[in-house]
Amino acid sequence: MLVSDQALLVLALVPGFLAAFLCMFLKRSPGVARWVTLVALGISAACLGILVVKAQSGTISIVYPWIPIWNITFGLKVDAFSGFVGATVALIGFIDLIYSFGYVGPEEAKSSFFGWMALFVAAMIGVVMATDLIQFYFLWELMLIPSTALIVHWGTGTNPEATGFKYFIITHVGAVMILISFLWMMIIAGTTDLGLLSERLETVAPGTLKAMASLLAAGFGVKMAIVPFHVWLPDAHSEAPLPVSVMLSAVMMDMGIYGMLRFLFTIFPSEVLASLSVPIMVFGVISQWYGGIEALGQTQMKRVAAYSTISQMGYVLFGIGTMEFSGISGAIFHILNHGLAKALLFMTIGCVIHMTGAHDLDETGGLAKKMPASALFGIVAAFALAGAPPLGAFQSEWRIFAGGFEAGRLALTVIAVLCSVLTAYYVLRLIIKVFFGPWIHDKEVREAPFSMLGAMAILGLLSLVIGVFPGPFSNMIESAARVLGL
Amino acid sequence: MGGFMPYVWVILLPLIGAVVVAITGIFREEVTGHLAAGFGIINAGLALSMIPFMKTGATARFPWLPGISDFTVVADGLGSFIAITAAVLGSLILIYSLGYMEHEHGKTRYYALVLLFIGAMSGLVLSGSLLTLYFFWETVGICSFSLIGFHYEDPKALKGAIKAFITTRLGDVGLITGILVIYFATTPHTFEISAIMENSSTISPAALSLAAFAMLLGAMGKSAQVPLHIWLPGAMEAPTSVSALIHAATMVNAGVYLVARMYPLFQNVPGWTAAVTWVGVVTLLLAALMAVTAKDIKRMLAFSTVSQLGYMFFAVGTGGILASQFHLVSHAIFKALLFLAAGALIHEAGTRDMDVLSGVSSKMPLTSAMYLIGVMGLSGIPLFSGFFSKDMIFSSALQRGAYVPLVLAVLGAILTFTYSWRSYFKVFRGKPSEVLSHAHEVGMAMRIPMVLLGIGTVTSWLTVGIQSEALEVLGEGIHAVSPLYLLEETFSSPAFLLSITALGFGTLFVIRYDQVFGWLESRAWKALSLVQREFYFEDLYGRILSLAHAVGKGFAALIEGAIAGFSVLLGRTVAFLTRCTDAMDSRLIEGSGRKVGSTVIGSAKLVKRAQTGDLNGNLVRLLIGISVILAIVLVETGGCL
Amino acid sequence: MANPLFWVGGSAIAIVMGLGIYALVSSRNLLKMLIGLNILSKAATLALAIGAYNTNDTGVGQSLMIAVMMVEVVVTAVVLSLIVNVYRHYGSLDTGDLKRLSG
Repeated sequence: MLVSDQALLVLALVPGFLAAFLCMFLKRSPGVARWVTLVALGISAACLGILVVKAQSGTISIVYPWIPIWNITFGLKVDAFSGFVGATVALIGFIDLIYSFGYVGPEEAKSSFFGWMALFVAAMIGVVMATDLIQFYFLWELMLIPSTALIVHWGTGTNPEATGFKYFIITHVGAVMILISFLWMMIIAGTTDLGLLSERLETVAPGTLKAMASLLAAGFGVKMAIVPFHVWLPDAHSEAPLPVSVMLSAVMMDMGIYGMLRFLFTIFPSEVLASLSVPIMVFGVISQWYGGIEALGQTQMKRVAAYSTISQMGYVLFGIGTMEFSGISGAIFHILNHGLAKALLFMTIGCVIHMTGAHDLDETGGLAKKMPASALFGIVAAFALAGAPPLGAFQSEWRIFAGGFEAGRLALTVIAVLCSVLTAYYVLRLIIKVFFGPWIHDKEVREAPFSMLGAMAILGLLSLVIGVFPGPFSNMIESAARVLGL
Repeated sequence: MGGFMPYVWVILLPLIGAVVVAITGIFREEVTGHLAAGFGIINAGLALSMIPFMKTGATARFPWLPGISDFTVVADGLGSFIAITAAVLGSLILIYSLGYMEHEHGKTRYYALVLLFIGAMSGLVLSGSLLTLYFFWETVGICSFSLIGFHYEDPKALKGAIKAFITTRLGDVGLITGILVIYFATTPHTFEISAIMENSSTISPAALSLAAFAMLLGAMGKSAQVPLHIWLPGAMEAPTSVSALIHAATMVNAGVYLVARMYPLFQNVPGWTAAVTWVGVVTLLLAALMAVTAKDIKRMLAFSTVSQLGYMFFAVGTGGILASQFHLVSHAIFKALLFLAAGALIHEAGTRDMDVLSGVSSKMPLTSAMYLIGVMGLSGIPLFSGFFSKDMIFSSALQRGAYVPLVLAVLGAILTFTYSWRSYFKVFRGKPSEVLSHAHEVGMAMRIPMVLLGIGTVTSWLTVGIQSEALEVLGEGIHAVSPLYLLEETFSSPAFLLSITALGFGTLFVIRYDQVFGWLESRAWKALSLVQREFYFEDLYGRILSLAHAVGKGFAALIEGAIAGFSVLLGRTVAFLTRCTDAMDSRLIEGSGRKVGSTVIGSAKLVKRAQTGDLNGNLVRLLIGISVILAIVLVETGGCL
Repeated sequence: MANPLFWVGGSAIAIVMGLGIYALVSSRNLLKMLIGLNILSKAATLALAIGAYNTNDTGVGQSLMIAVMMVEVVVTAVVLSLIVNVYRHYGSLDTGDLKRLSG
């Protein structure tokens, strides 16, 4: 091998931070900053791609002591699960950056924008690769800063500062809940290493464990915008600049999924988890339907997509709650599929906003005539979100439902499956209203630039490939689920 | 035939063709039609070459989802016939499209989607695994949606497309539920249909019932059975060639295929066969009624399709698998023919309204002749294929003793006769109307398929031999029959009487139509308007939709209002708390601070007074101080005297 | 030697110390206060001499007396310079006029 495994780990994480750092010095040349960030994320994505393939056969990690007094270490680890999530994050981040080449106009393109984006992605990758509770928390909080900065500084909407502030505060509350849970665990178990925690916690009373787990789940639920913790999402996702919306909706939510799965399943014994199964599933279904119904009543394109994210996270939470192999592997798979589909949807909406300036559903119609490629991608994104074959999301959705049936919760699962009708309806309605129907624009409209279309094409193609040839991806997520001890 | 597996190619070739057409179309749209037709014809040939495999049921297996489901292709009699129908009819319709779509935009989209559809349909019926079946089931739905919404600038088309997708989606909820329940209920867990059938004894009765009815729901959605039928009339916004292919000949048959395929598994579930039968009967009757009062020719044909599909469900429910499949094939042929003829007519006249059209036969003799043949097939005129297939359905019902449904089915046949012949007389006979002033017979591309289908309508019953042989493997009391045997059987069975009765009353109704109609209008206009309003199903759908929207908007507004209110509340609370702490601050903290300050200063002032500038005084005090210290030291150390 | 010399010596020290203190405390003239300081250190020296004689440690006594006398000289010199400074600054050597350090 050209590069050692350890080096790959470092190369996966460092370029993002490096790019962010460099962007500070490139204030006068945003063009260069763009490319630096792109290259950095490309390297990260490539490394993670290689790593996830390697991780199928075993975990790769390096660990350094950090704060020895309390036994806290700093490590980088890639196993089948974190590798999968990390690769997804890096890949979508990379594609999003390609998209932003076309989307972020010359006035807005400051090198700091790209620097923040690089930092955002790097922090997320770091979260995924963390081996130690405190390291995890450190990087988790680190994620908040670039995202808040991006929302506040480049956000659209009437009051971006307020939105950014709300986002920061609420997500931070979630992070604090996680921290409390961590500290609780640390105190009882005396270690922050993920590997040792499960052993040490075995002897604790189930009631306490259940409380700990619930607190942990709630904290991650805030990030996943589960009802009732979702209040930050609609404003944040719709008022953020579009490439950031993509990152928030398609990728950052996955951090919550990752955290929940990783910590709940690695640390707590299965009896505790089983007792939490139905509540989690119920919350999942509530989020599903809530997001769907809300999406139906929105008039702004981005808000429809934002509520759709809440709904999709409901699907994932439902899958997690089944505590069955198929449900959880479906949830993991949905990290990738939802990421691709939601990114594609946002990018399509972005094309419309960019080329016509319209944000509202009432302001658009019949765009397929002049923007056929965007229309095609819009349809692909719509069907992907609706979970229709031959696109990828079908593979994750059927697994989630299968998990529900396997767990024996028939009525609840049927309610969850019924929601897919609602999903199909609101997402198709969105695309049809925007692209089809009579033409109502008064000015000339051109097709979106190549960089934007190219990014979307990659996403659409990937989704199609996953749907038609799910084999290798199926293997990946199954080994990821197995890593969690299922 | 070693490595050559036509049943696999019949799925793959159209899919590849779709991609090729799509890519070619970006550069040269003009050739897409011919390219697609070429693929279609080759595909038809491949399909026909499947016939030798049908008897033995060949299988091919490819890895897809390791550990869960393979991509299994099973070419047995049940699936292959539908695949052949799809391929052959598909190729004819592609040829027809060369003429029909000549002046349309978006040809690339059209041809690519049609090819995709043909491949997916074949994939659906040839699937050996329930999961891959579902995969193709939904893909077919996507093609249907895209083709209904082909004229995407027309809001009606878009509405029709969404209605179709959502309604079938609703049915699909049932389908996926049924599939997953079976998967987990079978030991070992499998999606393979053959394995499920083998291990059917391991499935608990509760799970089996649930799966049976859930999958029935799915079938009802796809095959437009009442009450999920509302999407089919709306789907008529699609180009008529699409209606012929998807909504008459193939996709809608997927539901029939599903119930037929799962029949061996579900037949013993209490109430299932009865449910299937009654769904079929209710559908065939209601749809036939709605077809009678329909004003739009395509709408009439759509309701007719729904009705005939009801017959097929009825047949499956009474155990007549061969009858249902036989009728499936014969219906596909003559319904496609009717649609294509109607399409030609619409193409020339520019309208679908039957009140406006008349006298087409003088302008378009061939089309009229073909339509007539189609009508003869649909209405069940003896020696046309429709007669034989309908008769077979009646006799299987008789055998089962399902008398009540049978009576209703015969009633439906009367109605079928009525509406089909009426449409012919009204539209094709008489004096040519205004709209036809520029009409002329259609081109070759559109004529050839119609003629071929016309021949098929007359002759397709001859294939009963092949069909029955192929289906023998399924058991179910199906035995191979030859066409001759069929002739004998049909004319000598009691069911023949029923068919004749239907024909008789139908003829009567047609001749005396206006009188009957007038009588109905005066005496039973309530019932009439019920039918004319299509039993208010459309309105119900519209109501549900607007209710959903209202709920969505209302819910959104409510929640947003709540959140806004919450934010305001939060803001007020924070402001209040701030004021409190402010007050605390100024009173307690600063006040006490000030107190402390003044105390310190006061005491400092006191102490300051001791600090005089008087040197002598200071010295005195110093000395006093020293003496005191000395004294203390002396005392402490015990003196040193 | 103990008792009579002790009493005579003691009273002599007491008288001299009293004179010095009296001079320090009651004079209003800085020079007079300095002389008083000097007398005080003479008293200290006397105490040292008598003490040395009493303990028969005349060597140590001598060295200490010389040290004290040296300190006294230095202190006197510094104080004199201070007094000269004060006189230059304030134009008076009267303690009544020198009240600037009052609290």
